[in-house]
Amino acid sequence: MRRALDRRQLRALLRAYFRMSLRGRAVRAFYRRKPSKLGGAIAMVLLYASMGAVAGLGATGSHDPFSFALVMHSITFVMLGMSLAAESGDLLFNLPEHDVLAHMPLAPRTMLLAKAASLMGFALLLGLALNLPPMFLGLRVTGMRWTFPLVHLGAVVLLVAFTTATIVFTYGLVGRFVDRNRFGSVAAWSQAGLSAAFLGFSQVLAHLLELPRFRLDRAYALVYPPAWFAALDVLGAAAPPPRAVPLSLLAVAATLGLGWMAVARLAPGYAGALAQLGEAPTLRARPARLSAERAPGGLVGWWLRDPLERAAFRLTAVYLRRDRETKTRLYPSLGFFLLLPVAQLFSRATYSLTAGAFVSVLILGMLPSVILEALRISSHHAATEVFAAVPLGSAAPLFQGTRKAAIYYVILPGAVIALLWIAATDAEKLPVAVPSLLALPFLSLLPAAARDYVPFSEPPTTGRQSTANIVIGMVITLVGATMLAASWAAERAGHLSHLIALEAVGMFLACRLLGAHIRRRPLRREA
Amino acid sequence: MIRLRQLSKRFGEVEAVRSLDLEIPTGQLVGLLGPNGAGKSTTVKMLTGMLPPSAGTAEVFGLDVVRDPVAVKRLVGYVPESGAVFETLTGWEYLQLVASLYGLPDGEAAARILRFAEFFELAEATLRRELLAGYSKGMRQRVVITAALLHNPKAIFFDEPLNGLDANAALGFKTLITSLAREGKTIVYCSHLLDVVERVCERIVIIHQGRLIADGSLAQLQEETGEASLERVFNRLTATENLLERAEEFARVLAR
Repeated sequence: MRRALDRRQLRALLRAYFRMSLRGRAVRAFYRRKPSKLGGAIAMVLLYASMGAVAGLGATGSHDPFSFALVMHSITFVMLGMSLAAESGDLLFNLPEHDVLAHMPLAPRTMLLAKAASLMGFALLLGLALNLPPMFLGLRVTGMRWTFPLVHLGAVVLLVAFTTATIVFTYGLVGRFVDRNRFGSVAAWSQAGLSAAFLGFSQVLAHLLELPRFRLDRAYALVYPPAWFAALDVLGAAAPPPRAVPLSLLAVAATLGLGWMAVARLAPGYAGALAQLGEAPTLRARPARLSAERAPGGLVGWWLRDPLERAAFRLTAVYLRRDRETKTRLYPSLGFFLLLPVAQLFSRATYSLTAGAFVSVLILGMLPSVILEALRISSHHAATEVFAAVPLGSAAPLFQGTRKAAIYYVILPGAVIALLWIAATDAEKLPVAVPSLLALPFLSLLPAAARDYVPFSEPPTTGRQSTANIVIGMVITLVGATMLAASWAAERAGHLSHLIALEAVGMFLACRLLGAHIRRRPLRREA
Repeated sequence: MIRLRQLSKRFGEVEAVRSLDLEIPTGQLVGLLGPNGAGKSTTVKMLTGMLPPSAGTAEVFGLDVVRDPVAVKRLVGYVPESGAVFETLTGWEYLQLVASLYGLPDGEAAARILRFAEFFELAEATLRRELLAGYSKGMRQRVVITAALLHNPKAIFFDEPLNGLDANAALGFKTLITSLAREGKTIVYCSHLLDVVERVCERIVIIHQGRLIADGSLAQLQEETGEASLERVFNRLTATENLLERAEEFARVLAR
């Protein structure tokens, strides 16, 4: 197999990827208006820059330049890692794209390098946006030299390359060692695992190592990549602490080594995995295990008595189970949200167990939007033209069926686990969770509040899932935390039962009104 | 010369292509026929280096498709059944990308694109300005065919190339492929449109359930089966029994 890198092909591919990423892939969306070409990218950059500003302002309180750099590199590593984990499936294993390119004379190495560079371009955009304010805020830290913006820029670029290489390397390994029949689900779980690993890095180590007093001369610095890149920062922009030089060298060597391994050594495995994914004839439906794939009966049957809702429910259940792309998009997002409460367990605070349980309730509020937004997207979006062909007046039954599948398969089990967790740690606090749980039905209606919701009808666009996760996370955290605080305050004041009763009535009315609004809106195709 | 020796492809428990032996001399226009799921597309994908065979060998102009798939791909053109393109590129950008991937210099690529655009009646302004997502199915198919022929391949594999083409474009295309065969291109033409295959292909290969079941000129196949048309030959060799009677009965049931 020819392994040489063809620079002309690489340039042509990069040019095409760049154009496509600027234009977005949503131009053929059937049920939505054409998006502005750069609107999404600008919103994403602004979001990351504002998060960077907040983080940078917070970190200026650090007692030395290294601590500041470490905080910023840790945040960058985690944010980029999770964003790339959520997006990389679409970029690296895009089947429609495989149909276009598989018969072209492209060496696997050229193909993988083009994809990795495209992925890195996306990560660079996020990484630079996130670090732009801290580059200048860092100058306020005592002992930081004027060279910091420049040095930090270089270190961030290297960190972006390292993070991208980690993702590509992981997929290369999966492609090389996993057979095709299991590749889809293994890739999805690997992505979720990567997401978990990046989150674990931030949460676990932040607690265990007490980040502000992190020391480079300890062994743990060797296994914490952000420390290597922070060492680079202080080497060029402050008085370097001991071992900054070897750790900086480790940053450079690890990036080059991992990048080389990913692109040069694992490229044939990647090409093989892509070819395997294209082998559609073997993709057999597994025997129906989910009750939704069979005719639902009992209480679920009554809940899904509308045939259209039932059809949408089944479609969603099948995609959740069988579609590699849906799984690779959804699992990392779920991993991100589900691991946050678990991370609380590693806190040294005595209230950590109860706090973890309540964070899980808070997270439950985010899940409906995260899941439903992920289920809006699919590369099979053209197939949803069938909903325009059938006599369907409104998208409401499609939305309700999808929503009910999300509730049945993810949110309901999550709520049960959260309640059991609270009951096991502090049973007396169980009623405090009720107001947050009461809000779930209303929160799950929100994705269809402003526009039609047709499952799988929108094509994937790079950056969309990770941005959606962040925005949803920020909004629901604010609302949910307020609600939890109100519950806590009401409990202390002895008015919790009043609050629950009031909220139950309010939520019931809000659900009825929003449900009616969604039901009455006629299904609109793209203009 | 394209040479297949005991070529097989297995997908898990399904054997899509079974021990296929076939030789296609340079400059021949071969119609590759078979019912849905017979293994035509799988065979073509193996010959274009897209899928590795499970067993057997395939050579395209002396190059092994497994050992040197990239070199094979440089020599062949392929029009996939899916007609997939990068929808967010303009037609011009897409064809320039394809030309670059085949190593054509920019100037030469532009001249060739314009020649094809003229032949397929694609306005240059449309090609340059409009995204492929906005093209009609027929226009997009013309772009896909152009992409397959742009690098002047020695062998061309067409998988349902007439999908979406209007009658005039289809007529032009049929004339084009017979001319290309006369000029020495090896052409493998997969289609369900038997009348087209009957008219343009000098040799017809029929595969069924992954096996080669017929190979010869139309006259030879007619003589062997005693049927008057390719449609009847195909039906005799591949259809389930009483197809016509079953269709009539089904229509009666539907009308009730």
